This record gives sequence, structure tokens and C-alpha cells, in this order.
Amino acid sequence: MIRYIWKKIVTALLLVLLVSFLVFILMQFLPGDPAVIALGDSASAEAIQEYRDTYGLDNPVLVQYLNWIKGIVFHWDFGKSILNARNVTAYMNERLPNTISIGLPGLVFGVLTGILVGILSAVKRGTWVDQGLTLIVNFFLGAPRFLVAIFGVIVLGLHFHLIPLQGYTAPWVNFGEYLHKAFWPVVVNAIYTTAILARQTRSNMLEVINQDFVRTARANGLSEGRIIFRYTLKNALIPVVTIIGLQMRNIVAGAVIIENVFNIPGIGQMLVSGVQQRDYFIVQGCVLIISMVTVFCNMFVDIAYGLIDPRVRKAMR
Amino acid sequence: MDKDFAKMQRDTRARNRKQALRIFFGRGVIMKVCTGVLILFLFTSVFAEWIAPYDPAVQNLVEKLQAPSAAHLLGTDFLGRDVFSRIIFGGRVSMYVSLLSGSFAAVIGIGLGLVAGYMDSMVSRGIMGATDIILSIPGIVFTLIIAAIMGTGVASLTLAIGIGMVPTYIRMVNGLVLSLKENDYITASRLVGQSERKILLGHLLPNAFPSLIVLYTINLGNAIMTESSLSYLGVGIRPPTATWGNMVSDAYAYLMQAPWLAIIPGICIIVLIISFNVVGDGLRDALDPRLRGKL
Amino acid sequence: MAGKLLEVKHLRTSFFTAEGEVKSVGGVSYYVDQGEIIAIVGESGCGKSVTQMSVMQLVQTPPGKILGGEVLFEGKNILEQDARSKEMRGVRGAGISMIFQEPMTSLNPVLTVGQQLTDVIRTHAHVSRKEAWKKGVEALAAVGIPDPEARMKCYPFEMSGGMRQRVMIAISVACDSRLIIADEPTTALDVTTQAQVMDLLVELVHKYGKSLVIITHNLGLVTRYAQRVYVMYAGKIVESGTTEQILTHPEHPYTLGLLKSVPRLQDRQEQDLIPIMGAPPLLSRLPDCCAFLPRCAYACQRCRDERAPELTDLGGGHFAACCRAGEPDLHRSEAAGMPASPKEVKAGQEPDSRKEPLLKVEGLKMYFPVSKGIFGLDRKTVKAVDNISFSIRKGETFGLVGESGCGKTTTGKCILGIHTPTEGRICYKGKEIGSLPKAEFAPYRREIQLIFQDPYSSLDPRSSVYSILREAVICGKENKTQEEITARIYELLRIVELDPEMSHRFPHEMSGGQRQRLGIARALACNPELIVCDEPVSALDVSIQAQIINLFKKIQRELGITYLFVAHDLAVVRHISDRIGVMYLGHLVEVTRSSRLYEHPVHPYTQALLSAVPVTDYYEEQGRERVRLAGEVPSPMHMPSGCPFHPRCKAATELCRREIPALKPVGDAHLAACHFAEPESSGDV
Repeated sequence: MIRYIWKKIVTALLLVLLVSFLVFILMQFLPGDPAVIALGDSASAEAIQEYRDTYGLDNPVLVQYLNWIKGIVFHWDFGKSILNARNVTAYMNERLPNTISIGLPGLVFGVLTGILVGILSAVKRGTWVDQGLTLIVNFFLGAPRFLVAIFGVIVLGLHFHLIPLQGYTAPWVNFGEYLHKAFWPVVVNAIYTTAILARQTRSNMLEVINQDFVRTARANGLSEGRIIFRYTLKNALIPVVTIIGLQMRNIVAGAVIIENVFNIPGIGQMLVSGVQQRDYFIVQGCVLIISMVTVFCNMFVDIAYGLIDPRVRKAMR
Repeated sequence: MDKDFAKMQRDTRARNRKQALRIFFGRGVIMKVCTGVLILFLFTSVFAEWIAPYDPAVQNLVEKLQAPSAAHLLGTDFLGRDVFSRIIFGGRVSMYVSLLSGSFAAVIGIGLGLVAGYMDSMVSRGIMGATDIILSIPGIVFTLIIAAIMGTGVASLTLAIGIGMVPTYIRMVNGLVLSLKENDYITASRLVGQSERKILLGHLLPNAFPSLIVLYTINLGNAIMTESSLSYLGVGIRPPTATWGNMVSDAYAYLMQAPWLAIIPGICIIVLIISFNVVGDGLRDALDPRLRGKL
Repeated sequence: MAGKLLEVKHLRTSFFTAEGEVKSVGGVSYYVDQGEIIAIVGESGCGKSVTQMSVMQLVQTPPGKILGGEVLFEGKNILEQDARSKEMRGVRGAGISMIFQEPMTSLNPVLTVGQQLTDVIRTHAHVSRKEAWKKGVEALAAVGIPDPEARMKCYPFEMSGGMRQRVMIAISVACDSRLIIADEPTTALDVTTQAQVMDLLVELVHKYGKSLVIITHNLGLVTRYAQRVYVMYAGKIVESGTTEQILTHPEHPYTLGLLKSVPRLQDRQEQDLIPIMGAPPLLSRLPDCCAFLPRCAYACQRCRDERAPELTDLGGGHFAACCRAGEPDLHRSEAAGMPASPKEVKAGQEPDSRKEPLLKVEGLKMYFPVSKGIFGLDRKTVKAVDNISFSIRKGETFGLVGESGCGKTTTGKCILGIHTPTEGRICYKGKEIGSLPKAEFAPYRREIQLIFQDPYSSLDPRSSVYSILREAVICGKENKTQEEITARIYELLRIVELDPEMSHRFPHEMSGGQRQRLGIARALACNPELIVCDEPVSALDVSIQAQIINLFKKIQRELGITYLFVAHDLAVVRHISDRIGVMYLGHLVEVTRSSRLYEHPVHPYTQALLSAVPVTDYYEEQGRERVRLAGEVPSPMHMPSGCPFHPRCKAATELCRREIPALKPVGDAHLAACHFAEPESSGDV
């Protein structure tokens, strides 16, 4: 078992390293010269060259990459913003908690609601409950987040004045205001996750319920309730665990969009404005942090799966 | 004599196709509506010039922010442009982007996925490894970066979205091929002496076809979602070229005065994406009911 | 007990599907007394399983529905209870318990055996968890599972098929049910394990006074274990009586046909099977007249005119639903032994023993790596095939038998070139082909063909019959014109007795028997010299098996093809093989002529194997002595030292544990791998 966990950790670290390389290479293709961006179009040739020397922009790509990585690994320093020379790390420290304060509740609520809806749909299969839920789920699977966000703002905000149009307060600053302002962003974040998990849970439950061992349980006189909770649920949910890992990608995608709609100062907003303003070190740092979070979440989920499924657990002995 | 066989085979294939269509449309009203929607959007995209009453770029500041009326079926926007016409032309851009990027991603993704799945070589392991690395970057972030690299403009965005969808395609096709490869009929063809290439094209591909079609259709919906999201963020197609995504973002400032400016393009986006999804589901059930729940 | 334990009266169940009403159970009546063992026999689709599911009210209610009838269990009609009611659930498991066919999937993989046992125990009795646990341990011990305490904490996937089946039986013991319904309980198990499980069930009947209903298509099981038999066809019971009556003088043409078409261990090889022509009817389109009419060899005008016949009382508890039942002049006594058709002689047979054998396998070893361990250390291998040697002469059929994990399929695959042997030589027509690279092997590719076990998965669902055969014909690169290709396809279809009209059909539009014929046609398209048949009939219905076996024999007679026939069904192998090799855990333990193997098996494993298979002859089976084997077939990953059979062999000694016995002659063309096999002084008569 330890071997299994260790292998997963090592693979994840390796993956992060390779991703960082990919990100760095991609950044090299972005149009524009960082020096020109920093100093403006009218800067002199010497100033530009001085800038390039200071930041080692004329070194070979591999050297630049290694410097960057060294900075991260040993100092947790992601470089400096091109536009205002502030530490990218400082920016991230400010913004990451905000993103998490929206993303994490979104993930948790989305997963829980999704599983519940999926179970309900499966148990009441064929009835109007199932059909109605499936319709709603299919709707939200097809609706882009920014639209759901905006429609919600129009209805709940403009019409019923329940939520503000924009704005954000961190939970540790003022929890009440946080709840008020973050409610709709969190819900929007959760909705897509709910839809995906509902669909997957329902499909898994229906598959499991037709399996032989459920028939055996019934033939032995177990009650329907027992059969659903003990003989179907656990079996159906085990593969769902891996889907939860995949939701990280969705949550992040959500963050990028939602933070822009609601003007929340998080990593997503940082990333988009970085791209728009061509501030490459910021973009680099953001993408790397986002990827690291994705990879490590997947790793945790993989490990959790290994612990939950007795077939994997016992095979490790 | 062989002609008789060929004819009988054609008849059987036709019979199977009719049955598939019956299953497809037998799923209910929603399926028919969605197919109709797709055809409608396709039609209006192609014949945009003839259908749209006004030039989408013409501004008329006197008539700005008008509610829907007889003259302007869906009202006017903050620059006095006819919303209905902008919707139609915007729809053309969305269809264009999604069809092109979807097809691009399909060709490359399926090609690489087939290679990665069927051969068991360094090349295939390399492809899958690279795919895994790229997939560690969430899709929209990756597409965002590629879009930034490619620059703005319809063509570049199309390419960027297409590239962004390739890794997911590769992974799904790879999985599909791996499972199909294990079938006995593949072994049987090898045993009669058939070449690997002909097995891939003559046995594997036709059996992968239903799944691939479904994948393609659903990805067209994803392409629209990505395009509209990126355009909304301002990283995709920029105004004045109308696309539903940037129409929504432009309309955000006028939410209180003219909410329909945001609602109408929004509804169009949702309807189009859902139609693609529903048709994709229907295709899957019609072509191979055993896939239900797996795709 | 005065009344019968279970009495089913006029039970009717149908399924309402898109194709119409499928009348799965069309008025079935039977009974079981306390302490009795009865069998319900029929092929797949005859409704025997649905009947039992209806008794337990486990039928999926849409689309199925129990339309009528009574089920009297211990005097009370349990059909009156709602399917989900507490009373009905009380009956299930505690009154009547059911054992299903697939032990591999019948237990929940994520709960331990103990949890599943205690769940059931506590559903039926209000006991504490500790009490339930104790009862569970006792039940496991009662069914012969070693170390039951530890086993309670195991997960099902850690146990073999036979053990899982025992766990299912343990549930019945723990809940003290009065009746056990066993639905094809042994079909998915190895032959020797089958015997163990059946013996266990019978032991429970005698020890605890339970009753047993065996649902099966295997007439051998019926012969050995059942006291009374019900034969079902197309949803109705067509004959019933004691086992002796049914086996020695059956009165219904279907029963008669079954007995004649099923290959039996005691048959001589030259005997031909007499298949029942045609296929069972679709239950959604049952005719008003007798359902067996289209396939009946004794049909008369009355059968066509009248409605489906009711069961006629023939005296002594023997009933048959045939309008001609009881007619004395209908040669029905043949069923017990002799075939009606004359013996066929193989054309040009007497495999020429002077010539070089067509295929010679020498010292074949096939090892598969299992786990790579960390950095390549601790690598485990499975020795699927460990040093076997045999040869096959042109025109003969060599049967390879053994239980799961014995390596027979792997051997076939090595010969076909699907696996490259780890060691050893495979000589085909004198040339070593086992280790040839692909390009050099190409000329031989088409001469060695394979017939698959599953006819469905071996056919491309998107290719028509015509294109499947066309591919096989064209790859011969003999530059045929279009007409020649079509003519050849026609010819192939004729050989396998398929209507050329079918050439535009697709596999899912064909029946199992037709698909297997297509598979054979495809193999023949390559003009092979050697065909490896990998369990070609085990996935087919019993009445279709005979048709295909006869087809194999006919093809061999007409075309002179050599077969390597891999199977686990000893009776089938007996019928078709000239010589047989018995494999156990990757080793060849006995090789000899087919008749000699069944009459004078030398190796202890062969003796046990043969003893485990019941003989479908009532009197012969009653008088047989049983060799009972303990334990189960070990997994090939944990090979015993020395002779692979020694842990289960009653005659094992220290020598057996140390040394692997070599295959040595013990008689005329008879080899056995046992330290204690004595060469016979005289050949067999």
C-alpha cells in the first residue's frame, strides 16, 4: 500500500515538472517582447537591452527555465510581474485564498448535491421525478457558466434584489457579507459539477442495480432499502470517486469565468488580465499553480480510490 | 451473381439505417425539436445575407436601446444596431467556429488516437504521455493560452479551440481503440492473413464509428461553449464582429436598462449547445444502444 | 409432513416487450416433497429459470408479470403476498433459498463474506451481530470451507468459484431454509468442483432434511442426483416422472431427441449423435398446436390439428404431453443406448502412423510475467504451459482436455502463433514454426486456423456473412475473379449447411448455431490443414451442439482436416477425438487413444476427472464407484512442487513431492505422467 501511494506521489511530481516545462515553452510563443511591454513602446534601445540583461531574457530557453524552476522549488518565487515588478508570489498569496473560498464550497456542494440527485433519479427511474431531474441536469450540462451566472444575476439580483450584481468580500473579513456576495458565484460553480456527478451517479447506480449480486441479495430476502444503501450505493460510488478528481478541471475553468463575471479578485481573474495585458510571468505562475492543484487533486483522488476499493487495496498486499 | 449479393447487402444496410432513424426519432418530441433547431441554425447561417433584415454593423445611435418591436424584431443594442441581424450573423460565426474547430480536432484527435491505441510502440506511448501532460492543464486555461498565442480573429480562435480539444479526443479515442482491439474478430482477421492496415480500416474503424460520431457531435457543443466563453472574456473574437459571446459581454453594462440584450444571445447559445447534446445522445442510442451511460 | 413442501399449480408468467407477449411460463405445475431431490430439465429459453423466479416473485415487474397460478409453500399460497411484503421476504432466504449460476458475480465484491452472511442472517432472525457472526462461521464450516473464521473476513474476489458457490450454499444453511433451488449451480465450475458442490448439496439434503430443486440442461447431473425429473420445452412441462422412467423409457419425442443427441461418456466414438433438427420456437410466437411439432420426428396429422396436448398419465407417476404418448409401436426403447443410424466410417482414415506427424510439439513452455515488482525485482510468472510434448497425425482429431487453468487454450494459441513460446519447439510439417518471426511465418498462416468459443464475438458485427467470407477467401492471394470468389463462398456455405440466401445477413440476425457454422466456414476458406477448435460447442444449446459436432465430423470425413479439439466437456471430446491428452496445471498427465482413456485411465487425475462426470445411463450410473477429489484446482500462480497433482492425490508420496514425473509409456500408445503408473503387460482388447 505504501508503495502504491509512493508511486502516485512520485508520478504526480514528475507530471508537475513536465507541465511546468510545457507551460514555459508555451509562454515563449506569446507575441510581444516582455521588455517592450514593461517599458513601453517609446523606450530606448539601451533601456530595453538593460531590461533584458537584468531579467536574463537573452539566455537560452533552457537556462531561463531552470532559473525559473529553481526559484520556485527553493524560494517559492514565481518571478516578477512585467508591468509593475511586483512579486508574482505576492499576488498569488493575495488571490489564491479568494479563489479557494469560492471554488472549494462549489466543489463540495456540487459533489454532494450531484450524488444525491443521481441517487434519487436512479431510484425513481422512469417516474416524472427522474424525467424532470434528467431534463434539468441536461439543461445545465449545456449551459455555459457565464450565462447561468448572468441569468441568475438578472433574475435574483435585478428582479428580486436578493444578490448583488458584483463584488466580493472574503469570509474572514466579514462572514455575513461573504455569504451574501458569494452565494450565487458558489452556486454557479457548483451547478456544472452537480450535473456531471448526477448523470454519472445515476448511470452507475442503474448499472449496478442490474448486477447479479443485487439479484442474490433480493433472493435472500433483503429489504429494498438495505439493497439500495448497502448493495448498490457503495458499488456505484466507488467509480464516481475518480470523476470527482476530474471535477477539479471544471472548478478551475469555472473560476476563470466566474471571477470575471462577478469581479472577484482571484487567480482566474489574475490569469485573464495577465493574458490581456501580456504580463507573461503572471500568466506563467497562474497556469503552473492551477496545473499543480489539478495534478495533486487527481493524485489524492487516485490514492483515495485505492483505499476505498477493496480489490485494489487487497491487491497491494 | 455477385451483383445480387451486393444488392441484398445494400437492402439490408438500408433496412438497418431505417431502423436506426426510427429509434432516433422515436425518442420523442425533444429529439425532433432539437434536430429541427440545428437545421434551422445551419440554414440561417448559410443564408444569413438573405435572411437578416439589416446590416449587423450599421450603427444608428438615434434608435439605440429599443425594445423588440415590429421594425426591429429583437430590438436594438447600445449602438443602435439591429439585434436580430447581429444574432443571425453571430450565429454564423459560432457555427463556423464550432464546425471548423470540431472537425479539425476530430481529424487530428482521431488520427492520433487511433495510432496511439492500435500500435503498441514508443510512438503511442509518447502520444499518450504528451496528452496526459497537456490534460493536466485545465481545458479552458490551455485554450486561453493557445488563443493568446494565435491572436484574435475568427481564424486564429478557431484554430486555438481546435487545438484545445485535441487532447481530450486523443484520450477518448485511445480508450475506445484499446477496448475494441481485444475483440475476437480482430484476432480472427489476423488469422486469415489480413494485413494490419486493412484490419484497422476495415474492422476497427467501422466499429468505432458510432462512438466517434457521438463524440464529434457533443464536441461541437463544447466548441460553442468554449468560443462563447472566451469571447465573453474578451480573449476570443472581439467586437465589432458579432458573436453571441461578445454580445453578452457588451450587454452586461446595460443589464438594467435592456436586459434582453444579454438574454437573447444567451438563450441562443444554450439552445444550440443543448441541441447538439441531445442529438448526440440520440445518435448514440440509435447507432449502438449498448453505449448508453458510457459516452 | 402430510402435504407437499412446495406445490406449484398452473403458474403462468409472461414478459411484455416490444415484440409482443413472451409467454415464458405457460401453465406449469410441479411439486416437491420434503427431503426430495427433483430436477427441471430444459434448454436455454424454455422457461425453467423464469419459473423459479416466479415462485420467488423475483421477476422484474415491468416488463414481466405473473399472470396466474398458485404457489403453495408449506400449505400457504405465497403468490398472494405482495412481492415486496415482509411475508414474501421472509420466505426468500429463510423458507426457500436460491443458488445461481455465476458464482463469480453473485456476491457483492465490495463487502466481505462475513458482512453478506450476517446481513442475510439478521434479516431473518433477530439476533445480535455477534450471534449472527457465529452462525455464519458455523454455516461456512458446514459447507466444508476450511478456516471459516478467517474466510468470514475475506472478500469474494479472494475466493475461487467453487468456494463462492459454497458461500451461497452456506447462506441457505445459516437460515435453515427448507427448500434450495439451484439454478444451473455447476455450469460455470470445473468438472471436479462440480462434483464437490453437488455432493455437498446432496449431503445437506440428507443431513438437514432439506429439499432440492436442480435446474439444469445437463442430463448427467439429472441421472446421478435427481429422484424425479420434469422436462420443460417452450414454457411448458412436456414430460415428468422418476429418473428411471425418463431415462430408460421416455415417451415425449423431445426427451427422446435430447437423449439421443447429447454426447455421453459411455458412447463409442463411431456412434453418431442424432441432433434435433431446427431450433426452439420464439416464446413470443407460440402456435396453438404442440410447440415441438416442427422438430418432431413422430409428428402426425392429429398433432397438427389439435391444440397443444395436456400431460397424459402413463401410470406410476409418469406423465407426458404428447398425443402419441404410450403408443407401443414407436421404437422408443432405443433411447437407452443404440443409435438409429448406421455407423459411419471415416473416409480414408487410419491416420498413417508411418509418416511424419503433421504437428509435433516438443517441450513447449509458455510462461507469462505477472507483476513487474519494483524496478523489475520480485517478478512473478505464471507457468501456463510447462514442458508438454505431443504429436498429431494428419487426418486425426486430438482432444485436449482439462479444467480451468490447465493451459489447454494457451497451448492452442501457441500453435496458432498468437503467443510466442517461452521455450520449446512446435514443428509443423517437419518445420519449426514456434519461434518464426512474422514475415517467415506468413506462408503457414492460413494452414492453421482457429474456431472460437464464442461465435458472437468472433464475428465483426458490422460485416455481412458475404464480406466476412470474402475477406477470408481473398487473403489467400490466389488472384480469383469476382465469379470465382462468389462461387467459393457458395461452396463454403454449402459445406457448413448454411443457406446461401443468408449471405447478406449480419451476425446479430443469426442464431448461435448459425454463427458457429459461419466461423467454421471462415476457417475452411483458408484451406487449412490443421484447425484448432477452442471449446467450439460449449456456448451453444444442447440440441444444437449435436448438429455442430456432426458437422465437424462430416468436414473431417470429406476434407481430411486435422483437428486439435480443446474442451472441458469430456463427453463431447470423447465423441470426436481419436486420441486425447489430459492436462493439469500446465502439464500433460496422460495421453492415449480415446476409447482406452475412458476404459482404463491410469493417472489418478484422469480417474478422478472421469469419475466426476456423471454417465447418462441410469443403471450404469447407479452402479459406479466414485473417486472423490478433495480441494480445488490450485491457481497456476501457486504451482505445487514436484508432481502438480500431488496435493490432491490419495496415492501421493515423498517422491511425488520432489520430482515432476515424466510422461512415459504405460501401454499400447498410452502415456502417463505418474511415478506409480505401471506399464501393462498386455495391450487392451
